[in-house]
Amino acid sequence: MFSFYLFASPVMPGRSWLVTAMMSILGMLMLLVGFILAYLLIRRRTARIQARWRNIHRELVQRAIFWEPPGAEPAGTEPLPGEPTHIPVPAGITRSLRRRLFRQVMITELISGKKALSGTAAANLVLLYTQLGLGRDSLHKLASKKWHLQAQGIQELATMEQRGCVTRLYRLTNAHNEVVRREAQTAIVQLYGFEGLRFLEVIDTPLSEWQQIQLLRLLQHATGIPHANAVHWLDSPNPTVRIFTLKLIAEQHLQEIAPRVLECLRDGNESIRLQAIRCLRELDATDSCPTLIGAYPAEALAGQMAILDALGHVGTAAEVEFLRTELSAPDHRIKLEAARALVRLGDQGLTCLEHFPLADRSPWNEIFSQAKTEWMV
Amino acid sequence: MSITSLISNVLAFGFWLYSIALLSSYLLVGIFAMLEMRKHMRSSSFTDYSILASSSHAPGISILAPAYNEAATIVENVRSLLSIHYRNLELIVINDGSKDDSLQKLIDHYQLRRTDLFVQPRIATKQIRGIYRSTNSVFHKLIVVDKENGGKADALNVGVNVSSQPYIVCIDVDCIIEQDALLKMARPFLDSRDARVIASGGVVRIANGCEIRNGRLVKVHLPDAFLPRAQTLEYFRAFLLGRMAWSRLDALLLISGAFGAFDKEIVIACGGYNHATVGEDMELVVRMRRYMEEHRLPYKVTYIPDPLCWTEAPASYKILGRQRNRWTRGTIETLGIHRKMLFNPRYGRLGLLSFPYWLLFELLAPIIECVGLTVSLALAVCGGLNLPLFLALLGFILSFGILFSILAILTEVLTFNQYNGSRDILRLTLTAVLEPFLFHPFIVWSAIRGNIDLLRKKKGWGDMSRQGFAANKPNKPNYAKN
Repeated sequence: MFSFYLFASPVMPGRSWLVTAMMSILGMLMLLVGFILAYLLIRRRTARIQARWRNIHRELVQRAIFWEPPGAEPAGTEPLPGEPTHIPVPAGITRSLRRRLFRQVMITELISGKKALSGTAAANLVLLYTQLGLGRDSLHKLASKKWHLQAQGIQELATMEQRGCVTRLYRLTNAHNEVVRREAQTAIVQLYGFEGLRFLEVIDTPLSEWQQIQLLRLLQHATGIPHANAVHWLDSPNPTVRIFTLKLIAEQHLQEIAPRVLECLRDGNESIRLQAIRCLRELDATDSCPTLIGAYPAEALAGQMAILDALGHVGTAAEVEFLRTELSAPDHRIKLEAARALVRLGDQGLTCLEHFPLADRSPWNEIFSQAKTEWMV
Repeated sequence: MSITSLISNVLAFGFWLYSIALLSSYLLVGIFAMLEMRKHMRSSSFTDYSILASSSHAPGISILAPAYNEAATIVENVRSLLSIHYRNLELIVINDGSKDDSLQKLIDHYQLRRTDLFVQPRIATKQIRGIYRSTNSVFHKLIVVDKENGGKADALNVGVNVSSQPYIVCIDVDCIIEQDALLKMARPFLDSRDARVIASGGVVRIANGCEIRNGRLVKVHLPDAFLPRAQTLEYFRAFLLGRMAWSRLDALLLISGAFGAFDKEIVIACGGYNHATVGEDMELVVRMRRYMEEHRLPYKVTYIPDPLCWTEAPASYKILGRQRNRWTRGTIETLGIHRKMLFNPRYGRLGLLSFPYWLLFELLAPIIECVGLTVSLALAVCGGLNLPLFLALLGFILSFGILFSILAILTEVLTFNQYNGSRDILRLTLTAVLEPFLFHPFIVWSAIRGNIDLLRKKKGWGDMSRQGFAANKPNKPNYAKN
């Protein structure tokens, strides 16, 4: 909290100096209040104007969504003479497009429409964007030295599928500014799917977890990841690229790469080992269990918990004995994770819990009970 | 020069130097905050927070909501918390031995049944009496813990022990949290590349006067009553300027107890909340930072300026006085516990910047102000006061204070602009002018009483009854807010 009024000294400095300073502050104060009120007034007026423009744009966007190119129906029909070959735009809008703010409102409307639509309707919005020459505005932003304008330009170009500027976008995937870099990487993947991930070979800055989540979301419905590339990225000197690749392998269920993922259990980086264990769990790689058990003693607590969790998912009756020994681990969290894994393994696991010599003693009775309850839920 | 005159001049020079340092620090705070805010607003305009809402890769979060005698509103508050948008979420409500029927209301409404949940007591706490989960899968995220009364810090520690997720968000159960609050709060933990984010604070806003329906904020209004309005302005200064600036300097010492997110592993490593202080929120952040500094681990404490959490501010001088009294005691206790950090270069900007600032300009400011006024009065009585000069200095300082408030209003207008245009802004401006006369002296007085109470070894929070967001709510003693 701020408590910012302080003691008033009776002596220093000179009175005239203080009065001048006070008057200056009061002047600044009045100016600030005036500025705030003027700003609010201008903003309200701008908002009103923009709301009016948005209505105009929405009409045009709606028309564009339902527009059919000449000859589209019935198939193969030649356009009739005089039939428009582009989306008709009222003259008033064409005139107003000379205003920068009007164009920006139009871009924003097209982008929000494009995000909500797919198929022909979305393609028509891209067509309208190109037809109105709005790409020039986005490219102008891309050329700006201000990072936020660059990032905005990238977003607009990617959403409106402007593949022609891919070289410029690709160059920015390793940009110095974090936001620009992130937007460029997202844009490339948005436009080219897995193919766009080739920036992983060149980036020397870490991929934040946030960015990884964003990229994984863009790729969740994509197909055809080249296995060779994934293996190649696992050799990247950038640890975050290796972690991202492991997440990608798990999401895409690339079983064929499981042997290479197993090698990651020997990686010197703890985060990569942890991700590899989680990846093996998702790949359902039953034959990885002996390697996981072999890696277990050298792992820290998080790694050990992840291995126990993985064994619960990919393990078989062969792992029951190992899990049983872990029920006696000194750390209760290990005990609980081992019990969860045993419950997951089915009848043999449950039998093991029931026959555990300390099963009716605390904390085992509570731990086993919780593991069983969780499984039932 | 006589001895009296010498002492008087030395005192005057000291006070003047202090004033200049304080005013300069506020100027710097204003500049840093504006720069950081601009960066945040630009950056967040490109961010689609909804991607986290459905992602299986989103980190797990446990909301810890301690409750004490909240029967009147608990069902509605929990419903509001359950509707927060986030996938990997568990909501842990800790009933801290309430004397009312809070627990029974939760059991009845959410179809709770006592369950076997193994809790490893990684932080020592009072006894847990029972853990409840719902038999209705709609409420599967909800866990209710019933425990012996031990205070807010103890209840939060129980929540930490019960929590199964790597991140915890500690809130006051009667706060209104925006639906996308967790999506925004999780972001800094995922965005950091080099340093581990150990805690992230959120803005707390004043909900008095706002329209609230079914536990959700429907419309924002400026409070009509002067006290909550003065606090609205005070929160602008504290959250939009103060904390934003300290966040830019990576030297933030305080995350509000009403809404803060923490890395659970570090919280446990530090021993959890300290129940020996009434300022447990600040003490935890300081201890976590100290832990990271002492272990030479790269870390960050971040801050989100978006309005994500709304709380009811005290509407009477009595309750406000108790709150400020407690804040003062909490600050003194925290600075006392960690006094080793003061001016200690080993703790970097924490020891050389944050700590001295808190000591000199947060803790000592009310005392110095009080002493200054007393000395001036004494001098006036003795005829030794140059009245025109005194008034000029007072005017200078007051006008600077008002200017700082206007700067905070400007920041709000340029960023989130939650209020209704020119009329509300003019009311806030008027509040800024009146505040030094009607609000600030009381805050100073409460802080002085906090110092006195601490000397008298007075503990506890005092009754913090509020009016409540809904009408006709009974007032019972509960946890102090914020």
